[in-house]
Amino acid sequence: MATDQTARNQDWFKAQQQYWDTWFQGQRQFFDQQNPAANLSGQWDSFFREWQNLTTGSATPAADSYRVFFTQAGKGYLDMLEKFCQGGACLTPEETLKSWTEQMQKFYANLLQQNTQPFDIGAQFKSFSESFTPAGPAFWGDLFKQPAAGQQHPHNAAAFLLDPFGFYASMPGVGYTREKQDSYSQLYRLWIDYEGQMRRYNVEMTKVAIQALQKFQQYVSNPPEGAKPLESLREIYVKFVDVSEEVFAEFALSDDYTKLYGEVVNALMAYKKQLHNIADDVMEQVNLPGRTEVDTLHKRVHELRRENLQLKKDIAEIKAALGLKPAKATAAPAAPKPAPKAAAARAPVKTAPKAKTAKPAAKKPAAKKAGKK
Amino acid sequence: MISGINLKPEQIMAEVGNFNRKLSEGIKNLRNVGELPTGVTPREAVYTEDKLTLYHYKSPTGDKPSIKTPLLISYALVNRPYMTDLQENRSMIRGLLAQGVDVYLIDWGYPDRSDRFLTLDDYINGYLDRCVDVIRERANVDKINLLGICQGGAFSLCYTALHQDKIKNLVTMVTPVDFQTEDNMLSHWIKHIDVDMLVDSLGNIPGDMMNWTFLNLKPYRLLAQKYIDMVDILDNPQQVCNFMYMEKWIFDSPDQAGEAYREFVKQFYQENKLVKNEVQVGAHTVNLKNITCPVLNIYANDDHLVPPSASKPMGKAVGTKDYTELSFKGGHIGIYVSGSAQALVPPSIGKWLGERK
Repeated sequence: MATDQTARNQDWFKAQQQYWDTWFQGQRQFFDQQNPAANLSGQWDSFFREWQNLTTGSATPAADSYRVFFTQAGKGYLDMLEKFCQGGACLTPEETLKSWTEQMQKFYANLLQQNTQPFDIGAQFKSFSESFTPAGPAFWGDLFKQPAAGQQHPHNAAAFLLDPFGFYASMPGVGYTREKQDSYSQLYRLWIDYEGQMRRYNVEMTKVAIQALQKFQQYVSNPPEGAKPLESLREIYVKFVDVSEEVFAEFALSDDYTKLYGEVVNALMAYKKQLHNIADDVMEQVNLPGRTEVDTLHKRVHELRRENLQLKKDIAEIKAALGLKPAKATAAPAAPKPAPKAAAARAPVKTAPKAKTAKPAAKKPAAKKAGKK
Repeated sequence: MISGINLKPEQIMAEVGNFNRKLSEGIKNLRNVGELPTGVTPREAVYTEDKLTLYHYKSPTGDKPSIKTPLLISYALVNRPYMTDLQENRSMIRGLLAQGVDVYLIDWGYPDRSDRFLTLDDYINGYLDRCVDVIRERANVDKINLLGICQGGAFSLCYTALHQDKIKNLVTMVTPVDFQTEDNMLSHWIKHIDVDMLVDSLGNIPGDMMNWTFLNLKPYRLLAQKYIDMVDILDNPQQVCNFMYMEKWIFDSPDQAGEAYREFVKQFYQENKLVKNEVQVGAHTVNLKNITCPVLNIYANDDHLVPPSASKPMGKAVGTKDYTELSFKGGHIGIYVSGSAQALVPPSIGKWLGERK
């Protein structure tokens, strides 16, 4: 009995060995000849490049950055395809899957490390100040310049060395340009705050991705009882997405996430608001209207318009109360109360100022209230 | 050993080869998609004001409406209303016309910075009210039927509560009433946002920003898997067209007028005032108990934007004794465009309205 079992096992192993040998041999030949999966990500990239070119007419910078993002979106799957095809020449699918998930894990670990490294304050400031050089104050000048060999940094106070950003950004401005100095310091503080919040966000999202990957690995290693095995690369990918969405949703509904999300958005908006204040100031200096000024105009126009509509409505009601017919052309858009059951002329297109009839209905309490400020 | 997978090498190669083939055929089919129309059913603009246009739809078969009370569709300010009339075979409006409904629709247009100070009062007691009056006059009726979709549904609830004398029947689709249920991800996300800071910083709220938020509700599925799945249909010209219709609609997103957005998010999402009967529209408080006309509430079981738990409390919130619920097996978008929606939703609305002429 035991001998029969051993023989059967040996036969099975032999058959398996032959199967994989044949497969590997065929694969080597196949890859040597044409390699259909070579550079799949590249193909995906060129596909979307061509698509974007078709739809935008030319590769504008915005279209290009979107395409890059778009390409990244499908990259996870394509990397997996590529890995399976390249691995196909020497690895079993199981080994390839393991290798793919390990590669992703390394990628996320690297991302995590990047976002938990201390700020390179010099590089951060360079990027910040380069954006604002034309309008930037001379105050920042050589703040982060490296001292020449053998010389000390001009700002070598202990406080600066420990916290170069905080040291300067918290300095009150002085002299003729004091307000502007403060304005830019404030902008910089808000920008750094946003960068910090964004890094915290990235760290948490990377943790989610790692957790999802681990859960996926767990699924494929120990699938739940009765679960159908994944039988295609697409099924593997879809399962990966399902698991990732599940892990993400759990985190995204938590108090920790909502608080973090709020802090990132609020930090970004605070920075943008300050940026707009500075932009308004710059516009004022070149004798052009800024956003604040235009907003004020729009606000006043809306207020006037509401008052106008209300006045027209009131006039129509007074006329109705006096039994006067409303003048045909003066009906307000706020008060085109058509008389119920009255024969209505059908103008092809009505516009608000030309609204025709305004016979107030006798009993319209809700409508009366509407529009009153 | 990985026991959860069972892959055959030849199958992997076939899968990859197939993927490659579809990618290369995709460009040809995408090139042939051509212009994507924004609505397919004949219609007439009957009223315009600022960016708003009120459309009256004509039955393609020339049939006269059998339900005399006109129906006004109030769509959300988010995205464009042509979702209700996407293609000949995917058109809720056509479905309603076929049921004998006389259909009007408000297109809110694309607000720009001059619209930043439009308030909820301007939208609900202003634009919407004037559209209702225009239709009442055209149809020579005291009351019309109102159908609100999503945020447009919330507007319709407010409007009906404030102007019950002008509304005969109210239909709401994927409309939230309780904005703070456990499974409402958007509501959780907005909890700690400083909305005043947001509006003060941005003025109008960019449509792109709204889209980015919506995509991030399901980032793996909507930013990645969707486009991998797209490759499956790239060799089928008709399906490529269908995909692109949806894609256009999803990203054709108007900006949101800043003040209206501020009021909506603070009152509806952050303070959950609609279900508490505390929403302020201009000088008026919205009390849903004032809605005494028949109400049909249609929600989607798999809606991730407006979960059923957010919509179903409407039954207890409104004052009517004639409240009907219809659940649809699908998502927030599928309720307008899927084949099963075409077969279920317009006929159900038509039947319900027909019974309440």
